[in-house]
Amino acid sequence: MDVVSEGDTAGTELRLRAPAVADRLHQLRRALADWACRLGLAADTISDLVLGAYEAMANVVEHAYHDRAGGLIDLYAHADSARRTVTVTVTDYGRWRPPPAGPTRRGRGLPLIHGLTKNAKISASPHGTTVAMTYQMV
Amino acid sequence: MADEHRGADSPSAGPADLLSIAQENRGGAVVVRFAGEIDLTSLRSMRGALDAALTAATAPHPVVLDLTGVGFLASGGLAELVMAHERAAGRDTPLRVVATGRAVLRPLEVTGLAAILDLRPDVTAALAPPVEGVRDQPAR
Repeated sequence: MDVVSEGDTAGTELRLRAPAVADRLHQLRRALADWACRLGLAADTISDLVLGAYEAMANVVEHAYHDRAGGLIDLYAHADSARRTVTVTVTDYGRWRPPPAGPTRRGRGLPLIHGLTKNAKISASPHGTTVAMTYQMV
Repeated sequence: MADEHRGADSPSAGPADLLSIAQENRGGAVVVRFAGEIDLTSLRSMRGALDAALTAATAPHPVVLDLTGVGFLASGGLAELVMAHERAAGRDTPLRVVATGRAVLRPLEVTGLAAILDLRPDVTAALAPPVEGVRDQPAR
């Protein structure tokens, strides 16, 4: 299955859906970068936004669908011109594995997400997890 | 219906297309140049290159990881750097990281790794020998 894309004509929204597999993520990352570039965001904002989104998507690939194949990632990005913000959400329909007990060398994804923007929110339910990351437009 | 996928967005574009790695031995020191993107798909080749460099280097000569050409560095790559840092310490081999661009420095700084890894501005500085006279005298 290919990446399914659907956005508004004004370019203030980006909607992408893809299989939750590692080798599809760079495609999603590129599409998000292109969209943010067309919006005219600053280069530093674009790289933060793209890295944060990648980390959220990598978490989905690694943790969300551990017990079944065919899982999906939904990537949604939206610019709010009144608030001068851009929000990126990454949604899955699986369940994240609980983090391993004790110290681990992996697991820098969430600290990275929270370090890139103060406005990152993770909402988990039995039906899936959404990571929403908001950045100021500069 | 054709089931081939070709073109610029070809999903078959593999890790080899995203990251290139070149190792250069200089006396006992080893310089490894990374160019491209370090994400989930490149971790295996990155780990292989780090292991090979640590094996090839002769302590106390350093292993230098030149990340100047890296345009994207995700957390999996950060974890590989930390693990290489720990393995190098176990071999008494200094591990030095050359990083200049924001794509590499930003994730290192955000996660606090910039304070743990030995960052250098260029390969020449990374290959420089340590200052004489700072080693502890062995106890007699």
